Amino acid sequence: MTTRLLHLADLHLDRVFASMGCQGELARRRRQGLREALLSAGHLAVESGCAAVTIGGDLYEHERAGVETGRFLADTFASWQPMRVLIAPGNHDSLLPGSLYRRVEWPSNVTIFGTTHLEPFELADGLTIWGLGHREPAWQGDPLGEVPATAGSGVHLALFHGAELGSRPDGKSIHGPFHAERIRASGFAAALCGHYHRRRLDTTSGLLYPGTPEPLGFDDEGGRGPVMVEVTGRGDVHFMPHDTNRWTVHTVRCDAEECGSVESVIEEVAMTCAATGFDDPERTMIRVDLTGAIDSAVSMDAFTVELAVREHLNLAVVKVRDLTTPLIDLDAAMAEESTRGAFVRAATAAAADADPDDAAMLDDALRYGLMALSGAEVGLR
Amino acid sequence: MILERLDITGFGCLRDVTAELHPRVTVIAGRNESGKSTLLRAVRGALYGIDAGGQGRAVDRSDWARYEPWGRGGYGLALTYKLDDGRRIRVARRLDTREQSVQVLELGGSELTDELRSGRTVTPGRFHLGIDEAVFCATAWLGDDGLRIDAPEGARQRAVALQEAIERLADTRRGTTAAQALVRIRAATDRVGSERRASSPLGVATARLRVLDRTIADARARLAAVALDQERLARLDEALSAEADRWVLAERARLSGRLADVSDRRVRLTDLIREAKLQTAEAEATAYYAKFPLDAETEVITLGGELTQARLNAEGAEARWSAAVERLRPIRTRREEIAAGVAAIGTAGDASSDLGERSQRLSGELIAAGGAVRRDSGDDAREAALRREIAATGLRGLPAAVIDDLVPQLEAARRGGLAFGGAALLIAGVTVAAVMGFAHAHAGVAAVATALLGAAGAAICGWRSWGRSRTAARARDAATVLALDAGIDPAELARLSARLPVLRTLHQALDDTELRTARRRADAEALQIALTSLVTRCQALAAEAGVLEPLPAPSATADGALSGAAAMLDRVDFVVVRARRRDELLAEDAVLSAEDAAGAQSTEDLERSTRAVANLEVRLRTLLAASGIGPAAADPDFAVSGYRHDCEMRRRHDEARRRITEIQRSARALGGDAAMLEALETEAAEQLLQRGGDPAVALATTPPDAAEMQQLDLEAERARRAATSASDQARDLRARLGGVLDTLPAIADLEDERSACDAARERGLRQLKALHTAAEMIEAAAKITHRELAPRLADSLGSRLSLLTGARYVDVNVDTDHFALGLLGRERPDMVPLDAVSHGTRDQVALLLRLALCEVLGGAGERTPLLLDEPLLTSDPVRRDRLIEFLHDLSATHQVVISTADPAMIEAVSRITLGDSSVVRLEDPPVLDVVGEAHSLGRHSARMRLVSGQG
Repeated sequence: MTTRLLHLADLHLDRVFASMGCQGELARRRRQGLREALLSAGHLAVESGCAAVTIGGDLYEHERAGVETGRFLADTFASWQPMRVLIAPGNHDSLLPGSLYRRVEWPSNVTIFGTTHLEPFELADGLTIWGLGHREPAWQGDPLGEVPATAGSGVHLALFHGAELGSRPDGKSIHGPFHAERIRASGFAAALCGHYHRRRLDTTSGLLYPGTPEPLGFDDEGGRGPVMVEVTGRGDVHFMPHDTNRWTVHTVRCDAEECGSVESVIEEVAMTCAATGFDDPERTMIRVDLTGAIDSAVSMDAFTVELAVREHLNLAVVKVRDLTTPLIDLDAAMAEESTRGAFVRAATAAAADADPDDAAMLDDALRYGLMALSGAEVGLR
Repeated sequence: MILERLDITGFGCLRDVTAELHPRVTVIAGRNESGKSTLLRAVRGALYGIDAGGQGRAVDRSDWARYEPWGRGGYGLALTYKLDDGRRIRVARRLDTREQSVQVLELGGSELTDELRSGRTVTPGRFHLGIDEAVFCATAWLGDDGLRIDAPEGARQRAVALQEAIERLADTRRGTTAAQALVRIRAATDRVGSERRASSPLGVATARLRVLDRTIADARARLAAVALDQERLARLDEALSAEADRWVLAERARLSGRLADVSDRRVRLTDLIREAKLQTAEAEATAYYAKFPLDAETEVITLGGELTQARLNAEGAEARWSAAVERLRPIRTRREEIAAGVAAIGTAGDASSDLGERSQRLSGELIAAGGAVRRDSGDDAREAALRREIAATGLRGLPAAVIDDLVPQLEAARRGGLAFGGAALLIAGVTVAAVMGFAHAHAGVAAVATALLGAAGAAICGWRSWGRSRTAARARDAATVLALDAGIDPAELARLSARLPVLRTLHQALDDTELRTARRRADAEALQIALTSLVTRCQALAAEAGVLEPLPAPSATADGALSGAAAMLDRVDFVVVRARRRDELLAEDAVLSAEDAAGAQSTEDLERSTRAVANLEVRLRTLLAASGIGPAAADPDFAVSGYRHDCEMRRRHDEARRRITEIQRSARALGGDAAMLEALETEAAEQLLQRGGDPAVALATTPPDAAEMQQLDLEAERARRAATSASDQARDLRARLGGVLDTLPAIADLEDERSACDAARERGLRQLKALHTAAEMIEAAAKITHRELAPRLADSLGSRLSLLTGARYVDVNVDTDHFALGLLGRERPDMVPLDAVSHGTRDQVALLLRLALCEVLGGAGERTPLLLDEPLLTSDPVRRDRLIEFLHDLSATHQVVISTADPAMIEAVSRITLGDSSVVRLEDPPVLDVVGEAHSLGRHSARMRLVSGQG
């Protein structure tokens, strides 16, 4: 007999989206989008006849999750009955005092793993889910450190929030570190995990990261959604991803080298954004890396460009990263016996000895100074 | 640098033009639109290239597009110029494409293109003049308003404009001064604003940030409080649930206890009622004995008991007496027999108790002495046998020591040398035979070798035989001497020499036997002494035992002494046996005597018991008679039994009465009403059922006592109060939370806004910092640049000004801030500001200033030619001539090229320069042909006509 589960993780309900340039109504729409992703996942699980929905942590963000979120979750999970809901709290929704997991009255079909070692939950005859939960945000224990008694018959799956060290993205924090090789060595057919926001299905080691159901940052490009886990009667485990995200993000590069005015920059950025081929502009967020050498006389202002392109294409968000450089022969300018030459020499020398923050500021200063010395209005970054 | 020749293939309106330039002054003459300015632009283009747009600059608005030839044909030019060191350079540019191609050749020398490349462009002007295009434009190339000679502004304005021009050149080499750039930066700073200026973007962000921080803190506090309340509510709900459960359990226990209690009381009351009926019947049945006295009961019963016991004792005594009489009869018979036996043994033969033991000990010693005596004769017989064997050898006279010496000598004598002698003979024989064999076979060498070996072997064996024979002879001599010393014939010795080892062994055995015989004889003497002592002790013991028979006489032999002593000991033993038998009889008689005495005692006991029974019967009858109740029956036992029955009935009556009273009291304590108890039981069972209890289980348990029941009631009440309290608290808290939950702010919304404000503030602060840094750096750079340039400009200006003004002005001061000029003349002691000097002087200063700038900014480059595009367009003839004179003087160091459309100007130059000039005339522009093709409008070709000097 085949048993189906729907695995999702890193929903991050009540997340702040200011870093993506969202606030106010747009940010509220994005947060509502996360809730809709959960509802959509539940709908998919019910329609597919899943025995359970497993959640690999970071279901919500503890610092911002309020009463209303708790009520929403409890009502949603209750509406999925009799399907089971198994939750392994992560670092953002750890089982701290005052967490929703402790104060909300959960329906009877919800099981929250509350210990930092794997505990069994017999989901079906011959299928056991072993789960653990983070009890503090900075938990560093090894989820697979203690091998549980999985030697018996049946299929055993692990459910936890952890960082697989062999595939850790650059800069990603480490919570619950483990190695993928330990999954099978510990007697598990698969590990249903959460923490990494990029989807990863590794049938060889049995490692599954479903990724975030909706993009949470500009790096979360591509299709996203929960992953169906199918456990056959013979103990084989299959992963089937579902792209259910309604919001999309893109990062594009726009070369403004040939642009001689702010208007032409706006036009170039708009063309680049349109080239992404988005379907639903109101749920599309685009980050534009603006590059190229622009004449100092062009008063470039990233905010103006963002506003104009967003209104022009009716996009949810356009975020411009101004990576342009002043169109200047720096060597010639530095050799120039003038105030401008002295200014370029001074700014370049100061930047060479400065730390990265000061160097960035001095880069801006050089840019502003050259704009001013060219007689143009100073466009602010 | 001297410009020599300009060849234009196609450039703007000019096509196929060649211009030869005078080293001092050249006038480019032509009507308006004839291409004078274009020709000067071509010179600049040859030196610095033509900007073709791109990188943020529109191509269609570039100079490359502007000066594209009007007609078909090539787009290019070539300039030949001479450097101060005499080298001649030719720059050729093909401008057909945006990329352009350029070649720089040193005439008569090598190609210099790559040497003069700056980035992607080749700029000979920058390398040879030392100034970039911007400076060239600002200094060496003057338009019609460049000198502002006839500008309408006032003197001050013109001076300020000149200062600004210098400043622009010094600061940016473009149309902006550092001060203007700082104004731009300040404007940008104003746009950013400050944290304190609430109306500025930065101020707004900062103020909003503060508000949001407070709001978020409040919101978090409220959320935390709500979370705490929710947790508390959850705990209260748990507590309420627990208290409710506890209340139900306590109530169930109380009702169970109550039910058990009521049921128990009801059952007990029923039992009491039943017992009361029985007790009433009992009381009625024993009412006859209600007044029967119980006072003498104890004494009657005691006497009855004592009488029964006394009778039993009397019966026992009688039985014992009868048995004793039967047993005493054989005892007395036996005593008589013992007395006869003792009398027969008599009193003789009294012996002490250890007499028997001592007799036994002496008997043992006698047996041991007998054994020692019997061991004496063995060794003597052996000694005699050995002596006989020695004698049988025939060598009795040969002592053992001599035998030890003889044996080796005889052995040596027997060995002799016969064996080695035989061997010598055998070797000799074999050798002779072999030699003869070899000789016969003609083997000489072998025969000789064999003979030598055989001789050597025979010699060795012979020598050994001789040695042994001599040793044997010496041994025989020695043996003969020893035999003679021992008195034995040597011949006899030789015959009996084989018996010598046996004889030696026999001698050794004889020596041993003799030694043992000597020891035994000493022992026999000691035994004789001990035997005498033993007989004496036996005699003493017999005397002590009182043996009356005569003792045997002492014997001379040991065996006789032993036999005598044994007889004495036998008699002692007989005396001891008789004494023991008499003692046994006396002991038995003593036992029988004690039993006889016991039989007499039983007779006394029988008499005493009989008397006690009689006494007790008398006392009992007396007591019953005294109480007046008992019948004067003959049998006291019967009388006592009847008395006891009556007493028992009286007691039963009393007990029934007491029990009835007690039951009445208990029934009252139990409630007294069975029907009421039954109703209570039913009610408790129903309540228990309502609370989930089981009445059957409750009824099966032991009912609690009053204290336990009270405890159950207390606990149930306490649990009820706790549950009610928890319920009230949970209800209150839930109501309070219900009012708060809907008004809680969304932290995420606030944090989004806060993050945006924070980012805006951070961006503003970063922008401010960058702007301030830029401003500071520009100010510092301007100050440094101005301080460096101003004195150099003053020096350059001063040196020329004195020369060109006829030493009217001898020095110039250039202000380091804004390049304000002051002239020091001979007529005034102080500096004269530029706006206070005459127009002509001011124009001269302006021109000199440009040249000074060329020198200063060009460093150590070539002298820059001056390209003047109609500079005297609006000047009057006097001022024009004065300036032409100045330019002529100036051309001694700097080549001058002037374009003009004014014939008077051409004439004036020719007149004033006196041959130091030439004129390049451009063809007139074509008349517009309104019916011609559009692309031909304004197009014309020019042909250069050279007018050299006045000719």
